[in-house]
This record gives sequence, structure tokens and C-alpha cells, in this order.
Amino acid sequence: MRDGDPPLRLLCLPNTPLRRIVQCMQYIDQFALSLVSQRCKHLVKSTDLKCLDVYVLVDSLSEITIRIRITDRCWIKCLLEDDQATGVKSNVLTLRDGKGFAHSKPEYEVEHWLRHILEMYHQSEINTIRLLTPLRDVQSFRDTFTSCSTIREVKVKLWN
Amino acid sequence: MSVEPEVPIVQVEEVRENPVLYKIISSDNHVFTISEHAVKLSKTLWDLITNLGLTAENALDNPIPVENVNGKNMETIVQFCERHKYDEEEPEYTNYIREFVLPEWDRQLLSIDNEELFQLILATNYLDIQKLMDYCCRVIGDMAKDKTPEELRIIYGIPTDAEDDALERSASDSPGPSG
Repeated sequence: MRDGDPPLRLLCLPNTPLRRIVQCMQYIDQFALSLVSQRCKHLVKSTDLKCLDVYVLVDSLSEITIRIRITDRCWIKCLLEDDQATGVKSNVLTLRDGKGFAHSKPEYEVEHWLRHILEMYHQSEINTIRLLTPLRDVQSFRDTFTSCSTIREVKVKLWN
Repeated sequence: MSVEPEVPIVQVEEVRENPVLYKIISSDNHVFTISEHAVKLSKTLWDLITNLGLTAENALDNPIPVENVNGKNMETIVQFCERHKYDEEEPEYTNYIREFVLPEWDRQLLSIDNEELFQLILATNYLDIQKLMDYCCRVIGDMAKDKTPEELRIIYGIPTDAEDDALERSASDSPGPSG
């Protein structure tokens, strides 16, 4: 894009080149695009993105990291931080080169970020949740992570 | 020691001389000449040529009108097709297009402003030139590199959800073509 160039009008392109453009993007750029708007989210979803696993690390309910293993060599890490002013802010990074971006969606709580990621990569559930510190509010935790099938096992590990 | 049989060596370049040429007329009446090998990169044009029954003898007397593509885009397309006409057929890019490095010549050719790139990709889509389509998509995809969602909204002119909702509402409120 040159200085003074008008925007490219991406969403006005026909479906075939539109989906191809998304396929050409780096994984983290696809993820960034999915956060721009609902139409973008549907567009990125329609390119049939896949990932191998989704892991969650919970330090406390105000600090949660979601790791998306796209391939064996490429991970995306979303560090969710609860910010009273802007809601849950996510610092999104690729683990390969540490590059990424910070993004706040005022309407997104932790469960919305999780749902967004699961939807994006066509995953029905989180593969594993690791608790790094004991939880004070188990019910709130359960409400947030309804989509994880391995909570019970993790709880056992935590108290062992 | 084996003796090489004495067979005449035909230089590839000699074979390439005197190609069959076709004439194409753009929407703004610019006339372009394109070789047979190059025009084959466009599935739409090649289907048209085949269906019209154009041959080496009558090709230049029967220019092909292409009403959806203007002269500027057609010039870029002809340059691209002539440049890549002898490329070996490549497998589907799908699995490695992210890692594929665009050749410098093509990057230069596609260093055009956003509106021109937009029009070129529409023309490429219409003419069904897979390789040029992939290259254009790669250039547009690369614009997203290391950008935040907010920056992507500006670069790609993406409306907010609220703007999309308002547009949808006004479209559903407005009367249809029948009144």
C-alpha cells in the first residue's frame, strides 16, 4: 500500500480470490483478520482453517494463556489479561518469532475469546487446561471453560 | 565407450519462433497481440478461441473482444502471460503458498496502487488465469503481515459490525427493483 492509496476493498472481491488471499496469509495474520469484524470472522472460518490442539494455561482467572498448535512448528499464543478499563485484552503472539499484536474487544470476555478460537479452527473443545495456581472461584472457572473435556483430570492433578 | 548417435539438435528457441498469434481487444478498444502459448494460461480466452474455431491461419483476422477488461489491465495480463508461457506446470500451491517467494519480476509488475490491483484481480478472475491470481492474492495477503486488526481494517477498508448492520438495514428497508 502506497502513501495516500485508498483501501483495497477486500470484502468487495469475488469469493474465489477472497478465500485465496486469506489462504496466502501467515497464520497470525489470518487470526488478526478474524478479529476485525463478524464478516471477517466468517470469511476466515470459511477457508477451513485447522489446528492440531488448543491448550489453556490458567494462572488465575485474570491471567489466562491460550495456545493454539497450528502445526508442529507453528504455535499462536494468546495471553488474556483482564483489564478493568478495556475488558479482556489479548496479546497475540506467534511462538516462532515472538511477533504479534495486542488487541482489545470490549465485548469479549474470556469465554468469548475461547469460543472465537475454537470456532476459527473448527475445534469442538479445548484439549487440555493446566492450572498453575489453585482456584478461588471454581464455579466461575467451570462456567468459563464449559467446552473442555479434561477439566476433571486437571483438577485431580492440581490437588495431588 | 559409447558413441553418441548423430541426431540433429533442435534448439528450443528455434521451435519457439514464429508462434501462432491472436489479437485481443480490450473494453476501451486497445488491441493486443498474444502468442498461443501465452493465451493458454487464460482458461477463459483459450476456451473462447477453441469454441470460435480460431486457427493459425485466421487468428489475426478475428480479434477477440474482451469487454470486462480494460487496456491497462490487459497490458499487464499479456506481459505476465508472455513471461510465464513456458513455465513448467506447478502443483497446487495450496499447501505451500505461504512459504512461496514471489519472483522479483512479478513483484515489480504487481507494484501498482490498490485500485489497479483490485481491478487486475477482477480481470484475472474473469479470465481465469490461475498463476496470476495466486500471485495477486499473495501480494494482497502480504499487506496483512505484522499488522494489528485495527490496521487491517484501514488497509482493507473493512466496515465495522455496526456499519455492516446499518448497511443491511438500509438495504432491507429500500424498495426492490419492482418498487
